[in-house]
Amino acid sequence: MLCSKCHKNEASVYFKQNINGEVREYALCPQCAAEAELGFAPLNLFGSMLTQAKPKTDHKRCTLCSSDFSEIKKRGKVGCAQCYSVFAEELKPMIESIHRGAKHNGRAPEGYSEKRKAQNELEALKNELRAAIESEEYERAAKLRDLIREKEADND
Amino acid sequence: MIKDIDVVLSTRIRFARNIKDYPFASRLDATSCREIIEKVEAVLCGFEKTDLTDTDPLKAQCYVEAHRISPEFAVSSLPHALLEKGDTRVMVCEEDHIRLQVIKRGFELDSAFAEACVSDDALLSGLRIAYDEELGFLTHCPTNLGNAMRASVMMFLPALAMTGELKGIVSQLSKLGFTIRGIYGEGSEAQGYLYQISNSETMGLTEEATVSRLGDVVTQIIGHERNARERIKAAGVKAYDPLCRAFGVLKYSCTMTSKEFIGLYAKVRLGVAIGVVNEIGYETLDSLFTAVMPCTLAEGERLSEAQRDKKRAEVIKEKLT
Ligand SMILES: [Zn+2]
Ligand SMILES: [Zn+2]
Repeated sequence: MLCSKCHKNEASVYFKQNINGEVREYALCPQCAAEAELGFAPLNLFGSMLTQAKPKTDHKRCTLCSSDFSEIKKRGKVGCAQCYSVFAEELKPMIESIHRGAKHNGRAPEGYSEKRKAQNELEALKNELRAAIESEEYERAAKLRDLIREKEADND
Repeated sequence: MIKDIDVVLSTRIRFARNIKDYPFASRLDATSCREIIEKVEAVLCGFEKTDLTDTDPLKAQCYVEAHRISPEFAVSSLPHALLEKGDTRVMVCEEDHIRLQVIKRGFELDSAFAEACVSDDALLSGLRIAYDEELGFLTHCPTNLGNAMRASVMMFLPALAMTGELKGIVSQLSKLGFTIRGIYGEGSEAQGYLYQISNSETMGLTEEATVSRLGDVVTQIIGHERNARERIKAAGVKAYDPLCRAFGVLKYSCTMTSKEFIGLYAKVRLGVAIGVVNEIGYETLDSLFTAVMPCTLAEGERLSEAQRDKKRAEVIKEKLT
């Protein structure tokens, strides 16, 4: 029996997959089985969404991995981290639809986590300032404003 | 005593990370792979490295069966290596440059997460990890963007499957942002009544919030499963007699297919859980699961199906005697 995905290799893995109630049966070759098993989410989903998107400029290529958008569409995966900024505009609608427009909120590499922490602190100070002005504590508000200016200068 | 081992077989936390300046796996060359392996190895202290680049496919399959690596990793044609320390395993040059995972027996979300963070901290401070303020960790597949974390729990839910209650739980789970993998309804016995529940969202929630939400859901399911088991036991000898008989068949057979094994395994495990099978514990029973998988069983030999089924029965008998 041939692999039901690539139709090239001999199938050696038979399995039933049940994702949220939908049962599918597969007969796959080892390579396709490995692929099918691994994605965090159904792999084809993203590829099929991408095929509906049209690239803005045809000849744009990523300088790091040399992918163009048609290749990304075909694979359903980007070529490198930089692709996310090179093709940001093209990828945006799909990323928003997969992740429901949410923004990352969580762990971050060292430099970023400090930057984020600083931003959070700044945000908190600004809230305090607003509260101080509302309650007419002008002396405290002036101190807070100076502190905010100082922090903003540090961040830049 | 392993926490909730009667219902939860194992807990897993997995992070996907990539190093800036290198293309993702599909565009990577062998030299870059070796550089990446070296870099990851340099920032992770005390890990033991297994280079899987030229490993015999049968041996690699044994690693898959023991849950040490993913099936995709086993067939990778580029240089790739496994770094291990305790319950932490790091696959280097997988779909993402780095797949860090911690697997623990039983229901151990918090400790598994804490342990994964220790190694992840080393990666995040020692390497230039691909990251974007809004998109989070940049991963090969855009579906994993954000925290790029998959938290999952492998559950043994025979009573909920048998009583049909699982169906209702499943539909609620997907609405809550969780994915459940496994067969319920017809054919569930052949899969050992094993269900993997994991987060389907990676963007927007912090890792801690994701883990705690999954923990809440799993805790509730554990309660339901135990209640359903009590009802099976209360139904009397006719209800639990098949579980005891299954132990007899498991122990005394001379040949056994893997499908039959899984069905018996599930019955015996339920028997242990409700206290009608006392000759065996979870540790031995669960260790059988890996021991009788095709490649592990063959120990590098090429066995025919008949030879394998015979050897499977022998291994089981030996372990149960
Ligand atoms: Zn195939
Ligand atoms: Zn690129």
